[in-house]
Amino acid sequence: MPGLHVSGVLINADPECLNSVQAQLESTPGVEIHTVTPEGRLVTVIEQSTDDELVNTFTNIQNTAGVLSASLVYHYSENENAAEQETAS
Amino acid sequence: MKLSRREFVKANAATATAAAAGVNLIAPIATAGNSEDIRWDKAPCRFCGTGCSVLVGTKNGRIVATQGDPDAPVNRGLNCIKGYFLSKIQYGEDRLTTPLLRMTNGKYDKNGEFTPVSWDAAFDIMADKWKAALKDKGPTSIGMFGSGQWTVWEGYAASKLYKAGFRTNNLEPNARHCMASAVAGFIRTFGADEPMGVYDDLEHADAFVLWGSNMAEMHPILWSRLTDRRLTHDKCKVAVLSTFKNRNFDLADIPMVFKPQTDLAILNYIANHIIQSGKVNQDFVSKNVNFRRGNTDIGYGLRPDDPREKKAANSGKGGGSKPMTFDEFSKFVADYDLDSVSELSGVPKKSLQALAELYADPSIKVVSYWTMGFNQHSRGTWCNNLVYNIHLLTGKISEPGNGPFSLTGQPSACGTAREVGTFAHRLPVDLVVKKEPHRDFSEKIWKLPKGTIPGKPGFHAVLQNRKLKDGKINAYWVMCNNNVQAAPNMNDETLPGYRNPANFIVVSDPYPTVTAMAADLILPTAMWAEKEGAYGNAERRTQFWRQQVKPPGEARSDLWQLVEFSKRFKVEEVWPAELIAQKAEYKGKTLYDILFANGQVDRFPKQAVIDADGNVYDNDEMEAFGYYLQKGLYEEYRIFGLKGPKKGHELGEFDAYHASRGLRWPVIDGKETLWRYRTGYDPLVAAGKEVEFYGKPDGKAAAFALPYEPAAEEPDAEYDLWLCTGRVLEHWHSGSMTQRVPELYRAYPDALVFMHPDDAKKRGLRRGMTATLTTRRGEITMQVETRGRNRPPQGLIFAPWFDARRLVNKLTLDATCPISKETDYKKCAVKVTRA
Repeated sequence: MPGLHVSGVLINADPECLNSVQAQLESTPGVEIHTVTPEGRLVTVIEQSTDDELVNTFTNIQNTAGVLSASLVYHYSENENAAEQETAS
Repeated sequence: MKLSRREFVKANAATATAAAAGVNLIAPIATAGNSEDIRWDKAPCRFCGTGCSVLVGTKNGRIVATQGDPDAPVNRGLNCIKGYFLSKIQYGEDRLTTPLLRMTNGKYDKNGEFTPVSWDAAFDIMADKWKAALKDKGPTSIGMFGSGQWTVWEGYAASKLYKAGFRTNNLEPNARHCMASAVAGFIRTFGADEPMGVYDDLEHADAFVLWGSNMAEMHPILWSRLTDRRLTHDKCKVAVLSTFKNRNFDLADIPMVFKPQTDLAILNYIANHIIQSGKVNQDFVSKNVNFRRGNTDIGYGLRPDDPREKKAANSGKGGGSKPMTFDEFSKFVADYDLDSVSELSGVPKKSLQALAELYADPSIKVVSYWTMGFNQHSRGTWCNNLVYNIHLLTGKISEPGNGPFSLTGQPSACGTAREVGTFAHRLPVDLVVKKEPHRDFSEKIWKLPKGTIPGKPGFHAVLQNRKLKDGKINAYWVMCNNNVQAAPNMNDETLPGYRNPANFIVVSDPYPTVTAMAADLILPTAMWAEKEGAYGNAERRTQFWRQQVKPPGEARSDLWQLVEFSKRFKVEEVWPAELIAQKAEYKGKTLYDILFANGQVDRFPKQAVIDADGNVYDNDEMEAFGYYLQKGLYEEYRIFGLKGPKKGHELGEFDAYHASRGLRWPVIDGKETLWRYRTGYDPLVAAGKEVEFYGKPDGKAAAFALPYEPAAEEPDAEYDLWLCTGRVLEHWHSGSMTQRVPELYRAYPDALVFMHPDDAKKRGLRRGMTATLTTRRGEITMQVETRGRNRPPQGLIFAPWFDARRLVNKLTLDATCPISKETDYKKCAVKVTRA
């Protein structure tokens, strides 16, 4: 169902390929890089409008040259209406 | 500050991920509690043997979300793609909600249509068939095929019902297909099952060697911990051995593709290298190791009339061995020199040497991991024994960062199949049926007359299918597995038994699997979080969960089914009069009265199940039977570890597990044990000893001299390729759950055959075309894949087995390791043509 589908993905990349991995991720729609460590850890958030797109994006990340592992940490799915509600923070 | 819901969720995602990475972002860590109206509780994942903990979110009686449990020591908040979709596995559109019996004109008919019936009617016909079989041919004519996905108490209840109640040892778990070779290896070398180490080794080792384990796809969370170690520890090296390139090779410092079956020779070469280079840890070996020469030419576990069995000198005597000296052992492995092993295996000398040095160099802490590449092997027990040799020769064992570690594929292959002992030859906590003192002890705990448990092992998994085909087993219950899809040589050895008119086959499952559709009666099963449960993972960690939601319709847990069915039998209908005469008070009682309402299992009264936050949970079995059935079964089972003849299986109290993220046994004085057999870590090691392998009477492990021998079926002129079967990341085992999660199904809908582009070209095939795969036993078609995650060398193809529409086990051969009886799913001969 279209809506808000967000997941936090922890990526371990080969440090020697970090630049190319980063460039690849930056050019992927729906992917945000939050932090990169010199050891090759990348804290990323994927946002897509369906879970299928989210799985595809995740699979593509795993198949990116230089990506050694990608794990899901957090995920959130909800349908369209709830997505733009405001939340006090 | 106001955040849009979208920004809020994304901030949560980023902070949780950063926390898992050990990186601090400014915002507070998001927790599951942030989502309103959702009740969150922990549960071990339903899939593999890693034993990740997940937080299960429930709203209005339905599981709506799952996420990696940040407090779990195993996965530290991480989740794999299958775990990500756990919340959907219970909600497939075709869930079974009522018993279904094959009927024609209102009566049971083996060739009839599946028709809904009541539980009463289902148990009526089942009990009739069981009693008829018992009367006609006796206890060996009934059987059960259970599961490494059973909860601990389900396996325990099944073991009691079959071994004590029905007095048959024809009880097997599907774990026989999965890690029986690991079990046999552990018992043979150490006299006690399961690894000495724990996952903490991942953060202590300098080197990792993967032997036939596609960890990147099959144990992704352990893989991410290993990857992290490789990237953050300077000296860390990773060696990967496989018969084809897979995703692990991306990280490998020493990548090795070897010819199938030659792992035996490589293992012996390493032992030889250690000895030749003077790197044997003499002190460790002299104190802790015996040497033995194992029987050779032991056959392939095929039917006795197979020419390969007739030809084998020691067919049927695979487990035999004789003592030998260290010098004799050294001479034995001396044949496995660098030149000849490189030639045989196809692995370059430089790589073999580098691999051997990881083990030989005393300054390198090394962990060996393996899964099905070793275990599903016609010499699987040998592979396990040989890798132990290497760790024993160097003393690199039973300490942080050093050790051999067999990974498991099912969530409770260890906790249920192995620890409870739901195998044809076993009883709880490593006890075995053939030893009289072990039977006596079990009968005492179970309050049974002496002689209740038969002393002869029952039929193992592959043999059960043969005995069904031959009409020797006539009443058969398959529970919590998909064995028609999973067992080898489906057309010749599996389906004929299920459809044999002499047999009545019952299948308990949540979904209409290939196996369920081959049955005569299907029982709808409550799954995972629809019941209270306990699983034991690969690092000896026992984890509990509470019932989160109600099962749909008439579905009932396996536990309810087993215990309720026992009410259908008066003891006089199953036990001989002489046996009952020993316990006059049992006259006229049912098996339920004797096995379950025995004053032990029923001793914990009904209570509310409440978590630390005051949330109250259902327990349908407690409701149905009127007492805390799970707790009663568990506490009775626990006596085996506390008072039994084999030390080292001590478990903690029931309530401790609900309150924790699991405990690793042996649990002594409420404390878990990380590294077994070494003083300072394991309190059971005798005072004054540095190391004690206390599973063996003399406290010493056994190193085995075992040779390279060829596979049961190798490629020839007609069937000219090796066929290796296995799994993919997106699907778990036979796909009965993951294929029903729409996102996972669409991500990887159909099994593909992976092959080398030149092999494809030679056969007029290209990527995307359909190929016919033919063996001596059957044929299937699959689409060709020549790129991607798996890259076989020329001469080998890889095909996954999850796909119910492309049943790879029509092709495989039912050859097993003759010692462990586990099938070799990794090697048979196949030809590939254009479809």
